[in-house]
Amino acid sequence: MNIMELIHSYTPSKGWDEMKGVNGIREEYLNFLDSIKNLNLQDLEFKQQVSSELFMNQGITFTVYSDNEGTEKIFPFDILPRIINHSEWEMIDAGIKQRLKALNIFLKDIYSTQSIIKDGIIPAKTIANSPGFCLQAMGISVANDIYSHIAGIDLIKGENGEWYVLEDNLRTPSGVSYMLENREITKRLFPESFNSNKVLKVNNYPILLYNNLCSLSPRPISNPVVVILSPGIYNSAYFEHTFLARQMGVDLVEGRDLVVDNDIVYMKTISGLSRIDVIYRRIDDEYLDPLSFNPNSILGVPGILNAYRKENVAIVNAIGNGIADDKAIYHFVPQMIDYYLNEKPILNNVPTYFMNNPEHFSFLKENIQNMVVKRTNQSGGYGMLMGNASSDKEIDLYLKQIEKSPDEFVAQPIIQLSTVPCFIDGKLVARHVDFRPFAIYGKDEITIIPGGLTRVALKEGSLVVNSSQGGGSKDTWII
Amino acid sequence: MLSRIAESIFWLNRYAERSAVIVRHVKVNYSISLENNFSDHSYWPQLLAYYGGLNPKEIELAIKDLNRAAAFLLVDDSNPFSFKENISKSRMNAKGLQDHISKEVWEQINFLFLTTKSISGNKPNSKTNFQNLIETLDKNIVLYNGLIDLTIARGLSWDFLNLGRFIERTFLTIDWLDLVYQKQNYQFEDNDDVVYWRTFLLMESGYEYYLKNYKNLNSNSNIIQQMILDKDFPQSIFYSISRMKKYILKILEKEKNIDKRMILREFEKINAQIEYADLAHIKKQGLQNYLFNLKSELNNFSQTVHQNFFS
Repeated sequence: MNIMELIHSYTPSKGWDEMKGVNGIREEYLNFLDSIKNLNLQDLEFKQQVSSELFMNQGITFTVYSDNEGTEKIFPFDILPRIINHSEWEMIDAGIKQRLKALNIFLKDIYSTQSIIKDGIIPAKTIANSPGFCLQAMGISVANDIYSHIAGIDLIKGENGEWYVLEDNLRTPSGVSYMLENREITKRLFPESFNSNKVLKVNNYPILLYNNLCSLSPRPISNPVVVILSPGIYNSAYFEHTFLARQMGVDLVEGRDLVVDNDIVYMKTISGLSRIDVIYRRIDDEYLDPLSFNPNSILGVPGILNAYRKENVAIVNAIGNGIADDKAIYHFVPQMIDYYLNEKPILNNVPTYFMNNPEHFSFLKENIQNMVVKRTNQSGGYGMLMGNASSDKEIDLYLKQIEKSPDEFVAQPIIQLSTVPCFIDGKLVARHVDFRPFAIYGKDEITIIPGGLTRVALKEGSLVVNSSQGGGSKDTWII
Repeated sequence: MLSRIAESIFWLNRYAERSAVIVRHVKVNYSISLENNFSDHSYWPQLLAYYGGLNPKEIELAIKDLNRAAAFLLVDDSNPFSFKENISKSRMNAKGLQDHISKEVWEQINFLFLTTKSISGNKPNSKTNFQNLIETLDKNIVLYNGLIDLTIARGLSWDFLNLGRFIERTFLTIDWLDLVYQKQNYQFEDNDDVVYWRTFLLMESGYEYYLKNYKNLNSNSNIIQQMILDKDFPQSIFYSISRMKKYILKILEKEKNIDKRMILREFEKINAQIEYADLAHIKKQGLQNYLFNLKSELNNFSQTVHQNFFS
């Protein structure tokens, strides 16, 4: 069977399919399909096998915490790239920049004057109830007034092809290494298609990130010491930590490698202590400093918060960013854009219902089959209920949990995610996807890398794309 | 270099060296036993005791089945000293220092880990082709060593990798000499058991070297000469200690803030035992005593390295 027969037999989903619309193949896919028209089924199967071996031997893995067996898993990869046209990308680019600007001002505001509360845009109770609000971050000034240096914004495409923001990830967004590795592998699998489609490059991300980190050094020196702080080899994103350290040529350190003396952070080297200027931490606030946060944390560094407060070290992303990507605060981002920037939001929000509002809770109960309920303080697909995929018993149990602590839950209508073609079991099948582009917020500009991580729900009909819940990924081409 | 990284690099190669020796020893004995099932000329009892911690009764049971014995040493999950366990530890160290080793080395150690992970040694499958498995592991651990040589920059990582490799090699050579000469009552006089010594030399990759360099007939003393005092034989104690000297001096040269005197003093205690030794000296001291003293000094030096660089 050749590829054209596979494409003809492809059945798009009922919602928005990104390759095949009512009028046939969409324009952005035409060139790619033409460039692979001479391939057959065996060629695709061979490419799939090559990609699996590359991922396996390179140890490109993630860890699932609830899995008691082998903790490391390969992130499944689909060989066919997802293609997004340039005009659509320009809108996404502008929308993310606008959103990040507003969220960054919000972070500065909320940890200083709190005018957004005083002006009644966000209720004080919402901030106070958020587990992401960090009292220890009050009054701390950060370099260049930038809080969210590195962001990953989760986007989805709805039934009519319109884009929505699903989540803002402003703490330690992961996935950028998969974006870069997926690209490297796709280049090897489809070298000619890659050239003929004029795909925009993503591979300068590590250089941009390194330069951005260096610019934050509190010491005005030409070669500041930058490190990545990782929880260690058992962390779910450890592959990414090592990948970035290698790509940027910086040390990958763990909490036990660092020590604070006289409010200066040092790393322990074989020839003594060596001062650190910038820390790109991949550890949550809670575990960062046992003297200020969780006293039982063995991942963090005692005294690091004081060193940060005294501006002897830069910590990226800033401490306290959890308030800005809290699922309850998400609802207010369009108002923030209006309040801080006096602009209309370019990207849509998904309507959000608060479970501490009795009317919203009643609405949820009546429409639960069409709703997804999330815990405000969890991510990665954990603690979530999909109304259309849960039994009555599961729903009853979940509703009881909401009644016990309504502040911890929000609900959203289920959006039928767009689908793209995936090569699974020798067939071309439609699977739902989301999209996480990555942004670097620099002193002079915000750069959105033209690409991103597309996550795929590999099970037929499933809308859950998280790697921890059986999702996979594919390369994303902006052409 | 971070102390933790230096320690991981050191242990990465210690475990890898041990893995390489295990598979080489199993390979030689497996091959000999195929012709002559568990003959007196094989070293299975010593292998099962040294790399498996088995007692004589357990060894008696284990050597009834050649494949089971090989599986126990290579991939059995119940053996905490198996090849699989050593590679797993080596890989765990490598995982924590991917930014200090080359991508090629990481992929190779990862390949070895995945190859052994996919085999359960608890219930050796009769269809498992052990000959192929042993060949695969042997070739790939050699490839790992080749990639280390080809792709690691000659900086501190390289120095600590080699320090780990040669400390481990010295420990293993001392222990194996002790094991094989124990059966000979530590005698220097030849026992005429050519096959016994041939197997041992094959296990140490030194048979051809021996044939070219040792023409007189006293195998017992020739092998002591080759395995302890030979300057050119890469598995000899002399060679390993001379390499350790090279790398420890290079590390001390690069790291100015280290207490050099203490480290050099401990090193010279071992070095003196080998550099000024000859067969007569070892004979006078007694081989067993000589090996025991050498191992004690090596332990002390190893501890000094830990105290000064890793803690």
